[in-house]
Amino acid sequence: MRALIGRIAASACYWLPAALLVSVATNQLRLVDSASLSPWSGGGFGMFSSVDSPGHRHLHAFVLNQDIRREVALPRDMKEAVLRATTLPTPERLAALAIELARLESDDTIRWDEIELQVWTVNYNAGSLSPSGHLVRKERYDIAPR
Amino acid sequence: MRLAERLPLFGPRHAGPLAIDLALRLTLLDLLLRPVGSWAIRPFVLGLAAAALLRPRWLHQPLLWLALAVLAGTRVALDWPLADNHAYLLSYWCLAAALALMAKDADRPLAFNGRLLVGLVFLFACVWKFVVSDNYLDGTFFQVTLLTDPRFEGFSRVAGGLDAQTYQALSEFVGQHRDAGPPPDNSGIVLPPRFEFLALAATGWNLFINAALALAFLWPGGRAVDPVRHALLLIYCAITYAIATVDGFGWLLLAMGAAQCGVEQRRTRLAYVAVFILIIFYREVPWADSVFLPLLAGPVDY
Repeated sequence: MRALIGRIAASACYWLPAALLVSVATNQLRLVDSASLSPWSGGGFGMFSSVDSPGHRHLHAFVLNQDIRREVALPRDMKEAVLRATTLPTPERLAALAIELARLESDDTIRWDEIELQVWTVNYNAGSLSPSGHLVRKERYDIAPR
Repeated sequence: MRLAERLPLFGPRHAGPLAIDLALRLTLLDLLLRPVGSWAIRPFVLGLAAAALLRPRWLHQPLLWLALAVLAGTRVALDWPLADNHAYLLSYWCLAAALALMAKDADRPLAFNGRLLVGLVFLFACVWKFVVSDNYLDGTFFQVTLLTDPRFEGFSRVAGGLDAQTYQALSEFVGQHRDAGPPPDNSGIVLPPRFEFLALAATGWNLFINAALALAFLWPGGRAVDPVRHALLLIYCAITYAIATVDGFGWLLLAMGAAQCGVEQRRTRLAYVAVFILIIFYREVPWADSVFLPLLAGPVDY
């Protein structure tokens, strides 16, 4: 057994980099399917293969209460956090973004109950190239003060 | 010849020290010309790459390459999931260099890894283009990209025969931001046949060259397939990076290709250097925007 492990370790110079590439690229395919990762990202070599690039994705955020639904202006200094969240919109990443946006929106004048985040991408009609929005993910978070 | 010797892993031919040196130097040049990572990582990458280029003894130090692999990998982890695909490839390649330089005959594992990594990159690119993507095979991807990606504007207008007004009208139509509601009215929008042909040609060419590269580099044959591999990779880099300005990726692929040159393949090594320099020119001289567009469109239109 030890000899076998030794031989595997000694031959690592032949298989380890390729094994890493295959593992990451296979995981990227899984994340695109299960977690809406943009095909361009994640090390799966899907760049220049799909219109669903991080640049085509965008986020809308709304704060809500019983009477009002207002879109939140996304601060410029959160650009990278937004880009990360739209490229790979995991529940954890969206929740962190929602908390931060809710904090920025909170004031003494209006009481907000929820914040809704929508991640969109753009689809294009083959032939006419008409763009249309495609909702990638939508999440709502309770932000009512306790 | 025994079966084992026919497999690339046990291939009888050594790439030779010249090929290793060239491959490693081209990789270091890639790191210097297109440094990776944020301010926290970049100085270390630049420092190590410059030191290894200036001190030949350091070029073969496995620890240096391991450090570069760790730095490149750290960059990928810190930027997750935003890092470009070649950032991943760079870390695998630096790791391959480190492991190869620890081995007895460094040229053989380095050449093997170069070949396998290039083959796998294009295999996964084919999986995406042929199987997974639902807007590549019909040409939609290139039609949209040629109109929305500012890096392709010069090429789209020169090769697609679009004057400034047509390009702007199409670009604005495709770039409309409509999340809900009906799609925008496209009655006034007509794609010029030459532009449609360009998008289809780009799609067909990329499907062909990606599949050919994957097949050639993963094909288990040795010497007989070598010239095909080199020719395909050199042609791919010379054409692709004239249009898609992802120079870091191109330089990295060339370094991997150079690692597979045999001792006697002096001309092939020179060809890798020539295409590497060509990509530097592509970066510094935006030929489509600065040279052809003014000639074709005239100063007012431009």
